[in-house]
Amino acid sequence: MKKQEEFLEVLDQEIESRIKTIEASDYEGVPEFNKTDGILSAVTIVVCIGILIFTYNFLC
Amino acid sequence: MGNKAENQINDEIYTGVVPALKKDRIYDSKAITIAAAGFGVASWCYVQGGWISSLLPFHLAVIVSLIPMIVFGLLMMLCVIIPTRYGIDLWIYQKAVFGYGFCSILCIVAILTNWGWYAVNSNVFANASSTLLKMAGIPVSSAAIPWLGSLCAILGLVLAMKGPHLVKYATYIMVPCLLAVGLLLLIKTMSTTTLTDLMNSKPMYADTYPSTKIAFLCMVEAMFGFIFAWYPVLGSMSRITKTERASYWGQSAGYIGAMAFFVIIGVVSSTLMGNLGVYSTDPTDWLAHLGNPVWQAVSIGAIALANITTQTLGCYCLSLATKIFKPSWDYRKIAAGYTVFVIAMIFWQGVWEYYNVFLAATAVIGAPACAIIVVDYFLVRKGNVSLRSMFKIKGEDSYEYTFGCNIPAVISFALAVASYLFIYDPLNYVVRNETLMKFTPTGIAFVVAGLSYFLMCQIPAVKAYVLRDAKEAEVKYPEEGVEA
Repeated sequence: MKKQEEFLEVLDQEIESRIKTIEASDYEGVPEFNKTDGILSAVTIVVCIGILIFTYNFLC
Repeated sequence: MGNKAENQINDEIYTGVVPALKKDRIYDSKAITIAAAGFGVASWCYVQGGWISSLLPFHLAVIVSLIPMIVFGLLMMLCVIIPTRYGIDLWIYQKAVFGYGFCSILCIVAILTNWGWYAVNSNVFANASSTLLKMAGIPVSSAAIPWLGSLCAILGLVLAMKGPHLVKYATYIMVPCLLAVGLLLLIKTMSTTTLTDLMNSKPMYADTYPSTKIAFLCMVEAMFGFIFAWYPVLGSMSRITKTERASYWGQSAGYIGAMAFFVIIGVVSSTLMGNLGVYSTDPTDWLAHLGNPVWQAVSIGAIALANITTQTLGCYCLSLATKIFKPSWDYRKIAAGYTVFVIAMIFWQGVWEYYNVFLAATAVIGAPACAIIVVDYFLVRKGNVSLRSMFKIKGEDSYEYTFGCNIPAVISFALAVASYLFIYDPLNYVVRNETLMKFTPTGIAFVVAGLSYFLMCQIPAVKAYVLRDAKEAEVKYPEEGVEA
């Protein structure tokens, strides 16, 4: 039980340390999901919805 | 820190809730695509394809196998950006969205429901193994089938115990083989028939629904449920992926592209079998008619292998998600407990009988949850979150809300579920509202959940209630083009 409590304390300290690292922007330079990705995704979704509507109205 | 403690902490990065930093990420775009494909491609694709082809003409079945998955798949995948950005499981973030209490309830329900998929897989693995043994001259009785299915669950557990590193290298070998076998199977199947014959075939259970239009909408709905089944496991691999773009597009390619390919294989094979008077959602039945014993053995063996890979990843992801309840729980004990649970489902066999209800359950949980998560992070919080409150560091508990529930989020979720059931009764295959059915129950539930949550959060008092974490240290993500 004592070992588990010690482990939990170490775990909490590690999590807190990592949160501080993340808050200090650990992710410089990593390509993020940006507007181009969003637009590409949105266009694809709209086209697919169009295909479904066309299929329902004309192919069923 | 001593060596033992350091090893335990390192273990907790990959089998626990410790946030993964940049140095801990192991999946690049290729690896996450292959891992997602390895997770997604399993006999459930064939089962789904076989079911669709029994209800829709061939050309509609092929369209339904791909297009609906793209629509909600790409929307759902917006959720993976969050775990990739912060190195945390999506269930950790959902504490901010739903509150500590409701998040736990949602987690239990979503995970327990999700295990039904692995019971389906294990059953097909059992049938595939039984067929292979019979081909080798070893008779297998029907009583042995659940035991063979349990073997799939146990093998998945054994591999999952090793963590994501082993899985990554295993999928590098398995997935290209699976894709190659799938492609060859498709070519082989198409060579025994013509496109005209497939287009002219009549679905075996075409009379289940009053019209082809209704059948089409119900199958589109079924595919929405199929893609939202990934909701409980979106965070586990995303948190150890190197970049957001790789996480989003890689998992989209795996969960949408690879899976749709195998659903289409299921459609083609099942339609061909239907023309021969054989209806089955079990791919081993189809492959038994291929004629060439060597080819049969290879194809059936590939199915068995795919199911073990999927079982491994499912065990890993769902066990990891469970640790949000108590990080000190032993990941391996959780995984073992779930394996016992899925073995019980294998022996029960009820998932086959209630397959449509099971699909509806995954849709009615996953669609509203994903909608609220996306609206919450991108539109309401605009990327400002408190990791300290998510982990309750030093007593920070901004996400306690009202008795552990974020009331606007819970209301939105309830409205979405109500709207789903208002439109469609999945227990009796009854469409309750034909007008709204055109937009599908899952589509309506998704929109109702997202829109209602967004509108409620525009009320100043509600916004202040939801954004109570704003007083804490915020994690501000660098804006595009701005030096950090």
